[in-house]
Amino acid sequence: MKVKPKPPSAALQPQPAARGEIDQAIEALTEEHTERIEQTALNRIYRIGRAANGRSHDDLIQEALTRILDGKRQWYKDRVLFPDFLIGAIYSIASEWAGHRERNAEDPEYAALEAALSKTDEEGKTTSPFDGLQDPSVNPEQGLITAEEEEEKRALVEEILTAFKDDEKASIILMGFEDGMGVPEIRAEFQMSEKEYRTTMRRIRWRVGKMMGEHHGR
Amino acid sequence: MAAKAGNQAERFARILDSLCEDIRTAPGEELLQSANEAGRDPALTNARVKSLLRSTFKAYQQRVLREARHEYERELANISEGHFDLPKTARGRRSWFLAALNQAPQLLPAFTLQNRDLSDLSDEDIESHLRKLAQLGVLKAIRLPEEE
Repeated sequence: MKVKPKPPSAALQPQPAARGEIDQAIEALTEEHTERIEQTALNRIYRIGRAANGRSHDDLIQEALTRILDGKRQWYKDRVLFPDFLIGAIYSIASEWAGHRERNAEDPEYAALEAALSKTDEEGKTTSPFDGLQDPSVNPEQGLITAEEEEEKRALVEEILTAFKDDEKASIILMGFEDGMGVPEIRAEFQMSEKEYRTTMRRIRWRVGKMMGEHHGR
Repeated sequence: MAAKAGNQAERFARILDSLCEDIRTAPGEELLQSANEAGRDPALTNARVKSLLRSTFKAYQQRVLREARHEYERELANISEGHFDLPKTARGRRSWFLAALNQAPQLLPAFTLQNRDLSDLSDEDIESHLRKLAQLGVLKAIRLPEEE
C-alpha cells in the first residue's frame, strides 16, 4: 500500500526568531560584532547625507532592531547570524531613507528656505541662491540644493583623494572604487597581494572615517 | 583611470559603498585593531551599542504592552457599552432569544447543555441568556424582531 507523503508539519517549517531569541542574540554580540554594526551605521549615515534628515547612526540601528522586533523584517536564525541580519537591515533602511528623499525632494522636511541659503558678498550685496539658474523647468530651490550637494560631494571626494596623494596603493584602490571596480578586479589589475590590500584598506578606512566624522561634527 | 567628472554624488557613493563592503567583510580582529589605533575602545563601543539595542528592545516591549492594554480596555468598554433595552414582556424576550439562536445556530448547544429543550427554559433563564448575548455583542450582530 502506497503511503502518501505527508507535507512537513508546521513545527518543522522554519519560523522567524521569537523576541526572546532576539534578546539572547543581542546579549551575545561580541566586540567584533558591535564594532562592525557601529561602523556600518556610521558609513550609511555619511553616505546618505541630507536624506538622513537629522537622524543619527544610533537612530538607524534602533530602527533596524525595531523592524526586526515587529516582524517587518523577519530574522530566521538558522539562515543568517543576527549581527549580519541587523547589518543588512541597517543597509536597507538607509537606502530606503535615501530613496524617500529622492522621491520627495520638494517636501518641506528636506527643502531649505531661500533665506537660509542667501549669501551676502563682501560689498554687502545679498544674492539669492536662485540667481543664475538657467533652466526654468527645474524647481529653482531644488536645483540649488542639488547643485550644493554635488559641490559638497565633489569637495569631499577631492579631500579624500588629496589625503592619499602620497600613498600610491591607497590612491589606486580609491580610484578603482570610483570607477566601480570590485576588490578582486583591483587586486588583479594592480597585482596587489591580499596582505597589501588589507593593510592599505585599514589606512583608508581609518582616515576616511576620521574625515567623515569631522565633516559631520563628530 | 581618471576620476569621472559630472556626477560627484555617484563618485562619493561608490567610495562609501566600497568602504561599507570592506567593513562588512573585514576580519573582526582587524576591525578591533583599527578601532584601537583610532583611539576607540571596542569594549566601550560594545557596551554602548548593546545598551542602545537593549533600550530599543525594552521600549518596543513596553509599546506592545501599552497597545495590548489599550486594546483590552477598548474591548471592556465595548462590552460594558453593550447595553440593550430588552423587551418588556417575557414573550418579547423569548422571541428575541429564539431569533438570536435562529440566526446564530452555533450558539444552540451552549444553551441546551443540560439536555433541556429550549421550551423548558424559564423566563428568568431567557432574560439572563439575553443579557449575556448582549454583553458579548451578539445581539448587535443579528436582526431582532420588533416588540409587539
